[in-house]
Amino acid sequence: MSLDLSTPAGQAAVAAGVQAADPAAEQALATHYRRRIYLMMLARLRNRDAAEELAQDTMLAVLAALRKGQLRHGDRLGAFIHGVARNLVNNHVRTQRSRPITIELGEHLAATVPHEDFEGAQRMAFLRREIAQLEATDREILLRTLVNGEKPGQIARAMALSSDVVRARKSRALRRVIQRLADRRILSRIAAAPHLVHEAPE
Amino acid sequence: MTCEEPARSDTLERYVAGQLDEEAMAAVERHVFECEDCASMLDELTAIRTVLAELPPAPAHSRSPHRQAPRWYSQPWAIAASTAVLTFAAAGAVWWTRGAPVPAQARVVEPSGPASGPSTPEPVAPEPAASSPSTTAPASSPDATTEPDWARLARFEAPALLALTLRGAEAPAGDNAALEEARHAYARHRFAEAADLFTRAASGGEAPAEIAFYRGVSYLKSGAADKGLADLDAAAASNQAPYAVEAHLYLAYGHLARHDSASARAALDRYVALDGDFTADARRLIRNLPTPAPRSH
Repeated sequence: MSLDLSTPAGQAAVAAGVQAADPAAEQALATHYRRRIYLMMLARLRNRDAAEELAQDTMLAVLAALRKGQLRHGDRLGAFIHGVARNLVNNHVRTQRSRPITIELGEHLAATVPHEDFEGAQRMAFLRREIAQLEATDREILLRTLVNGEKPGQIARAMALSSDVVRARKSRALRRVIQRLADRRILSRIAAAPHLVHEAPE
Repeated sequence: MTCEEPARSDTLERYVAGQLDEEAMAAVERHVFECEDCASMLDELTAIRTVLAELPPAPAHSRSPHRQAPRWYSQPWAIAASTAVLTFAAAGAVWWTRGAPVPAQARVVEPSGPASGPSTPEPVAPEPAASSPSTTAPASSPDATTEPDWARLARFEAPALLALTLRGAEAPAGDNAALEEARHAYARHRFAEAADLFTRAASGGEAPAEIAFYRGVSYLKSGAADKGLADLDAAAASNQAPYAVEAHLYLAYGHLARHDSASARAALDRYVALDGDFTADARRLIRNLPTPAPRSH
């Protein structure tokens, strides 16, 4: 049984697995969607605690629904989860009162609940250093783009640059930071499993 | 949505910045729920945004060393505003070196709020010829006989909203939900709606200083100057930093919206005396205030 959730078949398999109380399917579901739901909540709420809470609520609601067999088309699991998450966040914004959902949560799922762990803290510290090393202009452009939500034309006017320069600098700076994050991930994996690194043949 | 689309149109960046409408947001989310690469990209952009949002102010923008930079300074709009000062200062320097002749009227700088306030350039025009009739009036004071452009004088950009949370047992969850909605409305410049939501967040009672401050700004931006002034007065009287200080600047804009130059001047004088974050800009605004017409006997 494929648990690849990027395919409709995989989604159907996971949905069926969860309904059958298969821990591997539940683990796959949580691993794939938990972080995504959290990011969605964070983007909409700008509040980490609320995002954590709602992501957890979403996972619990989805698990409860799947266990009861309430999803008819398992191959549309992603859309179903997104719908649940969207309902919950919209409801939260309107009332901030969501009914507590209580279902039994196995240890294999509790382990997938993200939190500000050591790895996360290290990653953020790394990012802070990388962003501090950017040119001040690039940093300013990124800040205006991602925090202030300004468009390149607005940034260009404010910083007396051309829109093309703003776009180029923004892309370059983002590429650089993201590349450094990717490098760091690779190095972390190597550090965690040095036996996987083989010397290149002569 | 395909994988190429977010990359091509900066959709993910705009999603992270909260600049997409509901339909576009949902489309991004549906795609991210399926796509590993875009989920990873979203994760990274979110982390980058988090770090950027907590950045301290750039040293070039810092104030006198004896004073610790207030939390106000760490806000993006303050950083953006400071950058704008440098930009305009540079533009002014170029102008000076070229010695462009400028009519006295044109030297009245455009006033604005903190977001664009620091961008207000110091008048740097060369000294006009002594024989010029325009020199009879102070360089930066509009002619008292002409009706000032009040709308222009009262124009300002709303300060970015700090993260607000109502705390304590007296703050029901519903209030914080309204506050969240108010924050969204404010960020999207729906100021009339934001003002109503701030009122709901305060449960219709006396608003805390930060709510009074942002609601006051919202009222001003939505054209309800009287209500805005009342809220900003309350924020100014609250003794809660930074709102108690910064409120005076917006009080000035509120008075200008009511064509009350004398009260605007008093508010700005108070702001300067309190050494607000944008004192230099307040001074410039003072210089550009219309001179009150002499009273007729």
